[in-house]
Amino acid sequence: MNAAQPQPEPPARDDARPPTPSASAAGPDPLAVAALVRDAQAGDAAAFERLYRLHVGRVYALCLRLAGDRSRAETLTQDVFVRAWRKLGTFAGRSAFSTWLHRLAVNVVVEEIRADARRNGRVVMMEDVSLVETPGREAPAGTALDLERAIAALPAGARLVFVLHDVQGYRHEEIAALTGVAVGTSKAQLHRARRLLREELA
Amino acid sequence: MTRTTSRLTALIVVALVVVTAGAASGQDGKAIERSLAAASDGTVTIKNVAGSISVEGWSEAKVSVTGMLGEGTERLDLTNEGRRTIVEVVLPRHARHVEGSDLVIRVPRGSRIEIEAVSATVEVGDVTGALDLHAISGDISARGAAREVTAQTVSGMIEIAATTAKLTAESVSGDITVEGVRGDIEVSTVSGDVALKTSGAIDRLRFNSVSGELDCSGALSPKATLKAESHSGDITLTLGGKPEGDFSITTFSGEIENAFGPRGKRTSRYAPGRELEFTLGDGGARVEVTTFSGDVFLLER
Amino acid sequence: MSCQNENLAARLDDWVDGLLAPAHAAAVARHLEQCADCRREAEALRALLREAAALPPAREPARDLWDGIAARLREEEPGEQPGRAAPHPPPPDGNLPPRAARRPGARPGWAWSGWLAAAACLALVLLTRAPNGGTGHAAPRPAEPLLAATLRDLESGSRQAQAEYLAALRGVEADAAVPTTDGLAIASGLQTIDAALAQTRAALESEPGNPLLTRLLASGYAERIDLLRRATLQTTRDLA
Repeated sequence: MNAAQPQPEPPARDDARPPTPSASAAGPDPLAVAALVRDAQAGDAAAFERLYRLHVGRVYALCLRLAGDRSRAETLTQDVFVRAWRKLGTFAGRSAFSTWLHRLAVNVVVEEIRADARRNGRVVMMEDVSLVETPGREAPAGTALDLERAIAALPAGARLVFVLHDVQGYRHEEIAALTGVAVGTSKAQLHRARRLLREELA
Repeated sequence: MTRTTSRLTALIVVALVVVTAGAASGQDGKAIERSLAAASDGTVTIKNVAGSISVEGWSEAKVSVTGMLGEGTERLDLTNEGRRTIVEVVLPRHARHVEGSDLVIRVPRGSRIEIEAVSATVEVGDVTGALDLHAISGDISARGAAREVTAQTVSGMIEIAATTAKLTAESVSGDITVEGVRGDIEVSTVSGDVALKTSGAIDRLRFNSVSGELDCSGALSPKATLKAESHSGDITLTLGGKPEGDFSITTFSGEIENAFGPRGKRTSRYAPGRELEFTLGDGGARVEVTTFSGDVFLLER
Repeated sequence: MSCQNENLAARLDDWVDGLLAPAHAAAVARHLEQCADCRREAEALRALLREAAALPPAREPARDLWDGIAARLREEEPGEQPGRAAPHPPPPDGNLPPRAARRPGARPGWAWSGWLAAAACLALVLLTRAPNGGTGHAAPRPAEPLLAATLRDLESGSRQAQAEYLAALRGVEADAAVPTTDGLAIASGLQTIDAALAQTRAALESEPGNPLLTRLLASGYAERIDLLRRATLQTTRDLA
């Protein structure tokens, strides 16, 4: 190796990726949430509404970025909370409530994306990513960031993986499990998403 | 005996052995049916972590346990130690995912009852000895004519409908409802609400809470002492029987409403605090109410 | 990208994500030494990822979605009617107030073996964040020396009880099988007490020596100690 030239170090495994975005941002006070969860599990609808108010922003952000358009994101957000109420009895406190809710949200959205694709006879994610997919929808009006707009314009499969991996911090194995495709496909979709985004934003 | 009959007999005998063995050991979600002789005024100690415990007094000199052992529990112990009978649902050393056990226990009516539960619900009725009931999230309910009652939970509710003359009820967030007691009453919560309806005179009442409310109605005995304190919970005292005594009500920022006449006066021009001191009749009883921001209502029945 | 190495383009993603085996990572590093285009690509990629990570975690929907949710929940569960919070109706005269609804889907046994670990975490967060009785500063001293001594005792008693409870929680195995207490209710109760203490202390600052406030402060500490001691006993109880 040539000592004179500065060498680009391969990033260490830990700091290669940006810190998990959702984890680093501050969330609602876990103690207050825990008390509300207990009350909601006992049937207290007012407590569940307060949980909704505390978490709707994060859930909606996820739905918006994954779905790409506002009206679908609103419906999905409602779907998430309806399912959360139904499944509240299964939350046993092993993780933080917001983590549990987040996973539930991802499940709801991914299921809906796949169901929608089936309904419309389109394919969302395939082994061979060169096949044509659903084109991205129009970016939601009023999004401030160019990046948000560019994400919304991505094809569905690429958008799904990019949001889950680079925005939400899931690993490829988790994404594969969530979406039912191979890890290789997830990586390929991510590569495609990043390339398209850089072209769009350049 | 023919061959078929003798084989059938053998089968029946085997079946009976299996059934009684199962009932005796009570393992793995099995039905329980056991009993043991007991002193008519001894102590019965019951331990069951989850499920339900229902205790009822009877006139027999024995303790009987029926019900269902939860899956995953090891066994039910029913033993004597002198004048104490122990009923315990024993769990395996490293228990996980154990189902609750439902116990229906008949005890000699004069027994003293001690119960330790975690999430199991506790119900006691028709026992004249003392009740010492502890649960964490399980609800506790006691009725009948117990000599004295102690009930403690963390988040479980407490319901007492027993004509007892000495009650101590404590909880963190569980609500406490009391009916029919008299005499010496001590109730304390952190955030649970307390509803108290006495029958017969109150000799001594201590109420303490942080954010829970007290709603107490009853009559004071001539030398009664009543002390109620809370931070933000409202305190309502509905007193019947023409109470006679010294009243001292102090609150930092709450309101005072007094049906007995005198109005509270501000303690200082600069502070929101209020205090109210007055005497009804010839005095004798003493009522002290203190809050930070809880409102105080003195009502007449 | 003018670099002719097609493999590299795909590899770069994995390299930036730290997913490559050491031998392959070294090969990429060697290439980047020599290829300015790829170095630019790598930097652009890192910039994109930084921007993605900086996206706001929450976005407000344009309209309130709660009514739609409540309407759908009402359709599904006729027994439980979610909706706007309503004050509890007063109990009819002479009756006990209605019991609270049970947890939906709860099993007769305990379904919350994870609760103890969650409670332990929450209590640790609460108590370690504010070492001195929940607010971080000592109470203003009342004029009366005897009362001041009592308050000092209570404050140190409260710190002591808290340290013991934290030690007890740490001693509990994560995901312990048999919960012996309701840690969440205890943590919630502590929060209630600490909020009340904070209010009383704040009031004392504007009215030092006020006997009512001093008394309420003492009561608050006593309640805190009582709760922590009971919680410690329950947490360390051996049920086997």
